[in-house]
Amino acid sequence: MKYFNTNIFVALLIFFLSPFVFASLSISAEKDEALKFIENLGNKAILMLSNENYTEDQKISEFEKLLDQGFEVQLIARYALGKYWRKTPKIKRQEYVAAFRKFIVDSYASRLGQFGGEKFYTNNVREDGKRGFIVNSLIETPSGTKVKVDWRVKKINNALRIYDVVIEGISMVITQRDEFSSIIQRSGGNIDPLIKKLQNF
Amino acid sequence: MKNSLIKFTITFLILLALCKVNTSYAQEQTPDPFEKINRAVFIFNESIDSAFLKPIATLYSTVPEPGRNALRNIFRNLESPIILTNNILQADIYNAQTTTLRFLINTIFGLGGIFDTASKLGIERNDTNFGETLEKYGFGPGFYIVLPILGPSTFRDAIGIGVDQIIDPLNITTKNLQNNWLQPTKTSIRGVDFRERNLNTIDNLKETSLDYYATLRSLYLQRRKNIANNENYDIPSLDLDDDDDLNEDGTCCVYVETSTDE
Repeated sequence: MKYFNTNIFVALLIFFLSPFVFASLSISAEKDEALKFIENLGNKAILMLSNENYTEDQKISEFEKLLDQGFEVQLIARYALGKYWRKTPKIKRQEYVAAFRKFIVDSYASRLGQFGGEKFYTNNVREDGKRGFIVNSLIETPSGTKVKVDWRVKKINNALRIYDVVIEGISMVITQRDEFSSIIQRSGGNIDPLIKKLQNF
Repeated sequence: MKNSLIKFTITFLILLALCKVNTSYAQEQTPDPFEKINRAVFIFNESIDSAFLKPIATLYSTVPEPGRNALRNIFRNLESPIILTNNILQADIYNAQTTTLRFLINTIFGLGGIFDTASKLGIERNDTNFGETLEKYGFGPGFYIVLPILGPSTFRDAIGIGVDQIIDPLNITTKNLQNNWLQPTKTSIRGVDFRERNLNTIDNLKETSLDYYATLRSLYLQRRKNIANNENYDIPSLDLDDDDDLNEDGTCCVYVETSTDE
């Protein structure tokens, strides 16, 4: 044991442990980043919605900006198609994703005016599978109702992106997927009627 | 009388046994084998909604909120015996106490249930039903069903609704009356109240749905699962069976081709 110099021992200890330390440090830094990301995006959205100087059109274009900044629309579209994604040829997929994005924008556009005066709080973040995090938040409506909203985020091309929103335990992606697969099933497994419905929405 | 009771018990047990057989479904998705019939009932319900329920609810929304809350509180208070019975059947002593305490406080100090004094004192309402009791006993949902007027449910929960009616003291005490109007009135008022509170939500949902039936089924079944987990829901897994399709950086197929904003 006397050969075993304490300094060497400590150095070795640090050497072997450092990956774990750095890994856990970087995870907590990433967690922080995810929390900040949602906080930032939520505050931007609330500021936008309560801004009375915006016209309807301006609100819609601001909404689209936030959508592209924060959400991985293509990934959401892909998840929403579920098992049918794989069966769809590449060209069709692109057509579908474009229709899906338009559908999201249009379905929210008409409702943007209904919001305003909400308060947004993020309160927790935890790891969720590979590269993923779940950020818990609370939205308080002007009438005082508190709604639990959880955000599934993931690092994609080095930038954090939302790919599912879970409101009071109800996942938007799952709801959309159930709806889409019902439409496809009723069309005999053909995806075209769904794309048409999305385009004509 | 005795004969019909025996018949009922036997039917009930057979139906329950069916649910039990289907328990394996519970982990997966609740199936909808009678979708055709369900969709027909759904269309019927929708027409009832647009012809009666929604207009009445819209009219009702002009009643000042304190008035609406009072009516809601009265009928909620009247449901306490059903909730208490199910609390006991579920061996949920804590909530059985809460329900009893709430009923006493709201009936006496809340002037017959007009005011929800108990909630103001921090004794929150817990809501349960026989469908949940059956679930606690290990019965699966069976299958998805759309009930006439009452709307989305599962086979198990539909049985639960029936049993809750039977154990409702309000039903038992008014059974001998010539015109039993109390029960239908209660159901109608609860229905109008629910519709009024969700006027905007339901309109939005309808407008933004491509297949309203499928959306509502998905929402109902997700919500039902959360109730079963006592609201301490896990964020649902997306169960991607084809996650291997994703690239190493988490992007997927189309993304790589069209992405220019790096």
